[in-house]
Amino acid sequence: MTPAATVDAVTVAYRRAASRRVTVMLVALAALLLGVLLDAATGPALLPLGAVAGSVLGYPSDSAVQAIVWSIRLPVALTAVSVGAALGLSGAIMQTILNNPLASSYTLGISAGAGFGAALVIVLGASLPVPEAYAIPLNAMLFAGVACAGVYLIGGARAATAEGLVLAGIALLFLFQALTALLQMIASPESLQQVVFWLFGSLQKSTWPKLWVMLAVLGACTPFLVRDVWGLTALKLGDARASALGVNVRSLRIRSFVLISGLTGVAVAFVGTIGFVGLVAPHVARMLIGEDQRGFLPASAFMGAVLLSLASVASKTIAPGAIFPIGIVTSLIGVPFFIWMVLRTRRAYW
Amino acid sequence: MSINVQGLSVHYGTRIVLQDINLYAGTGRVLGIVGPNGSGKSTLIKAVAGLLKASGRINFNGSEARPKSVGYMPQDLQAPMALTVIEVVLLGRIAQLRLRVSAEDLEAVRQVLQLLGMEALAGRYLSELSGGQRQMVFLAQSLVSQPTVLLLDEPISALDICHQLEVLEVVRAMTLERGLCTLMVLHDLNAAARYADDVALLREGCLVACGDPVDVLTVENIATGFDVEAEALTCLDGTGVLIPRRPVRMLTVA
Amino acid sequence: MFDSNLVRLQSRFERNDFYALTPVAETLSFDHETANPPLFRMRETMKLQKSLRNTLRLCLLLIGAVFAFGAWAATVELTDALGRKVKVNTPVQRVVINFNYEEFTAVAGKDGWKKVVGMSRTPWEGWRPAIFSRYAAVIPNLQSMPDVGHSDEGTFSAEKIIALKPDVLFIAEWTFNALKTAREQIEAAGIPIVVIDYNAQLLERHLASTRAMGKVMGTKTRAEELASLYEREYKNVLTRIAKAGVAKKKVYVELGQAGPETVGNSYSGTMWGKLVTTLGADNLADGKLPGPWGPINAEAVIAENPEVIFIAGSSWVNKPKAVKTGYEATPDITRQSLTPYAQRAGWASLKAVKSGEIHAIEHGLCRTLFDFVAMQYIAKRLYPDAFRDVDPEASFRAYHEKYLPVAYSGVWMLPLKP
Repeated sequence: MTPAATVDAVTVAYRRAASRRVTVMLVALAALLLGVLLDAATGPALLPLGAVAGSVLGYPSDSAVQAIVWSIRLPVALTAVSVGAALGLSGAIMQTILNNPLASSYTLGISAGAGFGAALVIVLGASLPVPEAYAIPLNAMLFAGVACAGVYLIGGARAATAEGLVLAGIALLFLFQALTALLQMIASPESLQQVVFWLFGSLQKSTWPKLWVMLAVLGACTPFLVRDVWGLTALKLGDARASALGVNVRSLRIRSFVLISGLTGVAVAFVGTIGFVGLVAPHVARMLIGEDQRGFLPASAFMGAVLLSLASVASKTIAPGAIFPIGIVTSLIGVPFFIWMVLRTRRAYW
Repeated sequence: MSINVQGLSVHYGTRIVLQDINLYAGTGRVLGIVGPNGSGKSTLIKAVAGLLKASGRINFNGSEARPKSVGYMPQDLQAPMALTVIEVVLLGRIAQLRLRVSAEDLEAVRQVLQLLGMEALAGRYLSELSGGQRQMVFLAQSLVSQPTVLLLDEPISALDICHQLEVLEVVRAMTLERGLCTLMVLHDLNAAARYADDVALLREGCLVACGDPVDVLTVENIATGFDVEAEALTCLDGTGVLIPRRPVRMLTVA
Repeated sequence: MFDSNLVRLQSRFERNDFYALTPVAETLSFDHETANPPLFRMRETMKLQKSLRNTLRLCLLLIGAVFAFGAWAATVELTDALGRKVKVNTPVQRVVINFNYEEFTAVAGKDGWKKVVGMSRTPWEGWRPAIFSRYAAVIPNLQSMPDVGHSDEGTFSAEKIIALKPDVLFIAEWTFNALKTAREQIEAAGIPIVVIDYNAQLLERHLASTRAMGKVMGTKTRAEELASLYEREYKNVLTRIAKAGVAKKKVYVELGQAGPETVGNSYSGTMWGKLVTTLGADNLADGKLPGPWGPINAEAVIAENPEVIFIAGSSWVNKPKAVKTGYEATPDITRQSLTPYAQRAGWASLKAVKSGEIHAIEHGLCRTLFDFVAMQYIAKRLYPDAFRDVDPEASFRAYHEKYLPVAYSGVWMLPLKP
């Protein structure tokens, strides 16, 4: 092989991988935009597509259409995207640092902890000094942090092996589910209804201020992830090798847990517990783009956003005129899709 | 780079894993570490790599400071299936990597892959490679950061004889060419004899013998070290070969 | 708009000063034919035109004033049941209402329904189907009325309401409190929300809700009549009770929807619970419920040994074991559905059952404008002497004849033992 040809081999291969990354991102972005538009175009009021498009693009339109599109549908569509991104991202980080394909903030009890925090405020919280609208998200984030801390401490803070953390997470999942069930038992009927909303998940309470908070949290996490992107990739080699390469594995895990609890807490606080997105989005991203975290993390965020956006559209079109609970939709639609992808992929990717 | 280990001791809790180890590995020399299971070989490598708390002194070129780039290959390397060869090898340079991969990084990867004859596999995912090829990839990862010390924990245990010889040849050639200091844990005594410049024999955390392979890998040392009766043979080209015969303490079958 | 017309008319006359008088109706066309009249007629014409011009200006000013005044009179400010001050542009042409439909019909009249463009169907069609179908027979647009969803089921849709472009939204207090985001969205779209609350069983809220609806729908006299009627009857009941001076009786009220094997909801501090307490009796449910309503443990009921029991029934469909009351019930049917309750385990020993004080009462009688009828019936059982001359059924019949478009019939409150 001539030297010229060998130079090409590595660079060619690298460039090919890089361009594949870019293609996947662009396609995901396009799917995302499509999802947002579809989301804005569907809803119980059954508005014609032209009217919605006109209103979104800024043309003068009927005040009722304007009110519906801008104060109800667009916040829902954009919240679906940002919550999906947050869940996909936190699932990706969790699967990487715990080295477990079943890890996600839902399966490891972080979402359950956040849901329990919200339920606690709803059922008991009339006597709190803070207005309920703030108390619920704050307490949800607090308990997401508690759950993360629990996973970390129980899993063995010193050794922090992946297996130990996963076991701790599952234990916490059952614990918080049981505690929430207990709250449901003692709740009055109105509180019960609200708690059930949390457990099903719903995008219908989205508002612009909540959206800004979500985007702010996502933005705040980005610089930390950029810093750690190669360290996270190195974790895939195992703790020993990663430490030898100079990565401080323990502090990387702690930092990642903080990010996960922030992302999950905010997502659950505003939208309730939505399962499956954090589990599936990283797997899809991995199948398409591989494990290089520079592409894997953004791709997981995108996949999560697309998944939740499409689920939101589906939840509105399944029963025209009504809205199907989104937590159910993500599972019912996500599972067959995921199985199809698993059967289709020729190479092992875990 | 030379490594001087003095009075190294490691214990997990109350259990003593390594006791008072004294070794010397010079520049451009390969030190093979052999011994039965549980004798502390991996622990010794990890201690030199700085991954364990150890008492005693480890000097690199005379100073206590550990060199920045140490090529360490642990025993069971997790193989991330969804990473390509280039990405895995790039990880070896993690200290210098930024968000964008620079041309120097790619060039270093190219050189190492070319050295190991693996440039054709550059774009493949690890899941598409055989076990031997994966091991070579990890070796490339260890080499890409231009280390001065190579610490290899059982690098050839899972490979077929062809790949075993390839890896050993590369390691010895690199050590000589670049003046590295290599510590290699091996189970295969003959490989150690042929490819190591010095051999250290460990048993239950203590150093039984250390020095030239001819002097260390004797029938008596094998018996004390491994509880194995062996026979020494000489090949046509004069090199010695050890054939294990039977364990010293035989289970009597009545 | 009238200002520009004024200007146009003025300029018209300025230009036409030397020409023939153009009638007001044809101001916008300029007749070239009559451009030049003879000179001596000009002076006369000028004087005539000047006075006419002034009169015209005065007329236009008055018309303008009337329009302007009409614009002020169009915005009405009212206080709803929760004390909120709401501004509504009357007369309203499009109304969305989510509960208390019989009250709305009483206050706004059958014709008020012509303006309704959306409703929550479940709390009427779902909860009281037999009553709903009777009203649907006499109100033309009721059967196909668009559904805006029901907050208990999570289907309440701010979107649908906004798309219907109502001038006002009447909403029950429990929906108002359950859906903060939706109500913000509706208010942001410029739709005034008037909260009505009959559930709290408070006199002030009954009256405020009734008057608010009357003000909005433009039927203030009728609303005032109803409010005074309710207040009169309510106070009448309380006065008689005060005079009666009898010891407190223990009352147990249960929703008899799922049959005697299931313990139905009881109420505390709201609906039946509030009613019973207002009437000076001991509500068995007080202190036993985690919230305003829920089922009480069967053992607790037997242990407390109530003296009077009311099982709330209705005309639900697909509830074969429920207690049956309503337009289509007969005394036999009602008693037949009530008897299994009296035969519940341990109930034979209760004071209420032994003395025959176990009653069926229509659940739809509470939290309405005619719940004074229920109050009269319950008070009659609690204080028989003080209410000997009060006939709740007659009151209800009279209410139907005066204020509701459907005819009175059936059984609404009945003791088990005739």
